[in-house]
Amino acid sequence: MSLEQVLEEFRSGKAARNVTCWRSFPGRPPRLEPFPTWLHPSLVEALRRRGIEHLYSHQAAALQVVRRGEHVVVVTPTASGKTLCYNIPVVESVLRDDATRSLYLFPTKALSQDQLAELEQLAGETLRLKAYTYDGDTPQSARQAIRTAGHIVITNPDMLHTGILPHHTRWLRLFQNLRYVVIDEVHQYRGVFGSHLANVIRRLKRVAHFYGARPQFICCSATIANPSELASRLIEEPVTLVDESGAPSGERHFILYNPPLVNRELGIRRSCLLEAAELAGAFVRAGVQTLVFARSRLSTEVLATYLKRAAAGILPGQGEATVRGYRGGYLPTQRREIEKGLREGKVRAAVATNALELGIDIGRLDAVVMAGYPGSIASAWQQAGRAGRRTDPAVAVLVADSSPLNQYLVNQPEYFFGRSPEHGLVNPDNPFILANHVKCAAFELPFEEGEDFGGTCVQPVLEHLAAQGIVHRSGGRWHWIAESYPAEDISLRSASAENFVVVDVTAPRPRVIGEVDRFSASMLLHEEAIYLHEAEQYQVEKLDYAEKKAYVRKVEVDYYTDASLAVSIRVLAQFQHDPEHNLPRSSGEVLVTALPTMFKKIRFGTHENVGSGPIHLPEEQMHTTAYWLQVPREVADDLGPQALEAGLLGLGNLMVHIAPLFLLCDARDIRSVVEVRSPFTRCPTVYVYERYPGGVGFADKLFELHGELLAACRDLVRGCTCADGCPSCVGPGAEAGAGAKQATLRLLRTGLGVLR
Amino acid sequence: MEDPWHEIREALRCARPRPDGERRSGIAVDRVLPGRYLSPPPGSGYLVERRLSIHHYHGGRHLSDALGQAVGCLGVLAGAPGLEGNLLEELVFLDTETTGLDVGPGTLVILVGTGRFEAGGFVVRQFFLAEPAGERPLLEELARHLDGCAGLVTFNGRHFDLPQLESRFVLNRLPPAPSSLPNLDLLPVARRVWGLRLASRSLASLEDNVLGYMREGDVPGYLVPSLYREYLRTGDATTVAPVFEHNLRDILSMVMLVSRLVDWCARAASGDLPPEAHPADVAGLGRACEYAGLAAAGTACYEAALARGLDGAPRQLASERLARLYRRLGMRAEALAVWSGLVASGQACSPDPYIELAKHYEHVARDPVRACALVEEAIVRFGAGLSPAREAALRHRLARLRRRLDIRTGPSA
Ligand SMILES: [Zn+2]
Repeated sequence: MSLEQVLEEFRSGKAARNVTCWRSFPGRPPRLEPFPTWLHPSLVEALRRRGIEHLYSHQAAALQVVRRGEHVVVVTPTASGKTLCYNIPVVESVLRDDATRSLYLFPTKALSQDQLAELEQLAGETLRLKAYTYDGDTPQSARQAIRTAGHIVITNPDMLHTGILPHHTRWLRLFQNLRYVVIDEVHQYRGVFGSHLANVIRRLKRVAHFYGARPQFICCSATIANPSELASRLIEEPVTLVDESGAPSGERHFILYNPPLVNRELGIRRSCLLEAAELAGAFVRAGVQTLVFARSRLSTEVLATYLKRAAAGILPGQGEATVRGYRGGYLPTQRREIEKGLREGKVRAAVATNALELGIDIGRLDAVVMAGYPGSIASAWQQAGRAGRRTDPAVAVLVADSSPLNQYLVNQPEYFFGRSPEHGLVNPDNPFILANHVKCAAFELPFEEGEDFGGTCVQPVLEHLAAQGIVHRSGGRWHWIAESYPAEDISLRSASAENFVVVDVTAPRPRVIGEVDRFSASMLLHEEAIYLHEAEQYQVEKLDYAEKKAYVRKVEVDYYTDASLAVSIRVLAQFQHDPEHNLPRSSGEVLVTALPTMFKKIRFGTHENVGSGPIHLPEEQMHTTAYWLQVPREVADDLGPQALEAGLLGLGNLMVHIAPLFLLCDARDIRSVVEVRSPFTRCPTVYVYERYPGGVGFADKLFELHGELLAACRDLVRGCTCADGCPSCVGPGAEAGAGAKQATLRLLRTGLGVLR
Repeated sequence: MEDPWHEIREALRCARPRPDGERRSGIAVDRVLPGRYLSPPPGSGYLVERRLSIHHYHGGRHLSDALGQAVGCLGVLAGAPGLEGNLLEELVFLDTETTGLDVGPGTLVILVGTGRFEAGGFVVRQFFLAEPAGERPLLEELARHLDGCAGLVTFNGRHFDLPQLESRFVLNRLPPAPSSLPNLDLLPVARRVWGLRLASRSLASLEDNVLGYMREGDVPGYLVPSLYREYLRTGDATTVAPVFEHNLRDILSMVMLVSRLVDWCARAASGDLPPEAHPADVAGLGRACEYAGLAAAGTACYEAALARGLDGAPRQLASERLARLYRRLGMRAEALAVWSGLVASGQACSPDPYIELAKHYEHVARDPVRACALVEEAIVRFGAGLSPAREAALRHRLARLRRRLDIRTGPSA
């Protein structure tokens, strides 16, 4: 059966009732441009050998921008040939001058390997091009040659931070001749990781300048609201945007699917996993090559088992070989075999976790089914982009679960199909992150008196370090005099150095699988907590608070854990305030004190509460940034004390769930807390604070987006069919209190009403 | 919770200029050690020169013992064959003290000590980083000082002192002068020569066990970084004075060590080593010669070590190596005698003697039964401890020998 026939059946079948939106995008021919005349003939020949006779228009545009000497960010869909946008200028520069060097940054090792293979194919036998990956796996014996002879060094931010910059005198050749720095997957560098990367780039530029090089940056990003803003925040230079894809595509369908309600009053829907399995099963039975994305390892197993059964007796080769799971824990050889099977069409269906999201080459498939919203619109489009060949039609189905954000998206498709609302945010001047990188930079090169760091004045930080005997001022420069290697103690994944280590004790030999910052440790690593790592579930067996170590063991359960905190908040400084609004808004610096009290076990998909337990851990304090809005006294009086409290809780809950729509962050990156009478505002107040010490810019952005945020919250509550609150809107009725839904709506209407 | 937030935030927001260099009240270096500034203080390098008598006694020898000695085959052993024809007095002894053990741009070289024979004496020059800002004039002066010298003598210079200095030269945009000189690094040679006897081959251990010299009142190397930081903090140079002493002793010990090594190496070819050389050291010297490709000298040393009554595991090791050298030199009879001795006494420490003998019985003596028995014994004695590949090779050899036996005697039943 062809895909069109399957879709036709689907359109007329029973399940069609659950479709909230069905968008069809007509096929598009390629927009081609000839190779520029200035391109080196050997490179043209190498491209022709690979069957490339023309450039797509976006590739040609990117080349032009690069040739003008501008920094560029290229935003194009999955598999539109974006790698040529940087490989062509880089290879060209090597062909013109053999001394030229370039650095490629990818967020993961797997992507680095793929890029190396791609470059090697392009170079073939004829181009003299030395490209190497340089990461933790690179043998010691090979490093010397890479440092001196590699035209292209492919690495990741962590290795640049600990393995290259602190040893720059050995990388003399690279830094003296550094022409291009390529940063792919720019949208991944947001929040804490991005704030760190921006500082690593400051260090990179500082070292390159020392050797007389001013590299040009070529960045690539998935579609987000502010790609050029994010890229230019990361590299702190103006960036030119290239975002019109000239790549061809066949006709494509994008379907938003909401599982039917089983209890309207309580807002409970059918399991998103089951619905996804049935939809994918129909595709697989019809012979449509299908990729299913699930959010946890357990879900991939459940879905794979279901699909194997669905395929049995219908597909040649039987279930085992034709339906495969694909996730983080698989061995590289296993993964490569599955990727090859998908490319060759022997594997007819695969169930993947997000491991597949990032550019790994599996060719193109006919259908993608997403069991749950992958957390950001950018990710959803990247996953959907796996379906769609040059000419044939393709389909992507997003099956919503019961969480507020999932529900919001399937019911407000304009957010999905319109201009991306998601902002990638970084805050390179987060004082904790900044101070750490000033240390690394001082180790790498003495700071001059009055020298800034990415435009930020850091002299006082240096005086602070001098007082601790870490740097010494001499002759108008600050010299590193400590014995330690600062970069080794600084993880790019967390804001403060005081981290808890997560140790997996499943195998006889324990291994460290992650780090959690101190403030979050009591929420994420209390005993019995479920800790997620590469889509695998681990349960915390023991938390050694004094040693800052959590011992975890692999488990397979159908729930996640959520800790409840008794939180108090104190405003230390108000940065912005807008009293003109019906619900006056502010942002600023706060001290959050949190005492974990108990945790809940919450079932995937349905978000039901399936158990709980106590947490016995001391309280934690954190300095961070927050956004808050206050309810004027007359509105509060009008609501009455009970409804007011329910409304505040409901609103806080909603905002935390909806904010990731605008912020490109995880729902766990922000939290809310309410005060019926705030000592600071003297009014009822809802605070949304950042979970990372120092903050990464979420609070300021929410202040700016105040109106849009409230409108999105209102649309969600208004559209929800429940009687008085449910997990899909303001929270289950019992939790926020009776009347929560109405009270929340009332507050939202006030906030969105005519300005006073 | 200790929180740097406020301090840092305040610092970031209200940047205020401060006068350069805080006045420190400590005792300046020129009042502790006589010398001269390489640039006007503050922010300067400081050079201390000391002339020692040629008759200065250290580590069982006089400095004058090194005069007239040619580097000779020690140059080959230390991987600096270009220096073979040079005399020790044409070389510069070099040792650095740093703020850390890792080679990286954040590690400062705080003291570079050099020693060389000059006009009837031995002159030690210590280039001291009195202020980090004085690094460039210090390095320039050092480069001038090294200009025209034939080569360096160091202890672990290849992996420590020279990369550290190279990094400093690069950071000051100067051509890295010391790295371009031939380097006679004593550490790898010392490891081979004294490794059979001594657990630690640090300079201090060699002084104690080889030179018979005990340091008294010496500051341990690991304290150097914190002493220097203390000096920077207080400006009191009495804090770092012991570091100069430590560095001086390192240089003198290197002179004594190289003088001894040159002497030993010159005698290696004849196996005629001085009586104070322990048999294990003689075998160690043989090993160093063998690694450097000097087969004849290696053979002579191993023979001498065995003749001097070397015993225990080093004896078996030396025997096996000796036999291998015999074979390489075409001395088959001698090799067979050593292997047979090892097998007969059951003292072989690897399967090699069995295999070599088995080859001999199979191909030369035409006695496959004996060959087969030898391989069987080797498998029994060593099979479990070998790498899978080596074990497989042994079993393969055995299977091949057994097939040969079957063919000769006909199918046995
Ligand atoms: Zn609801």
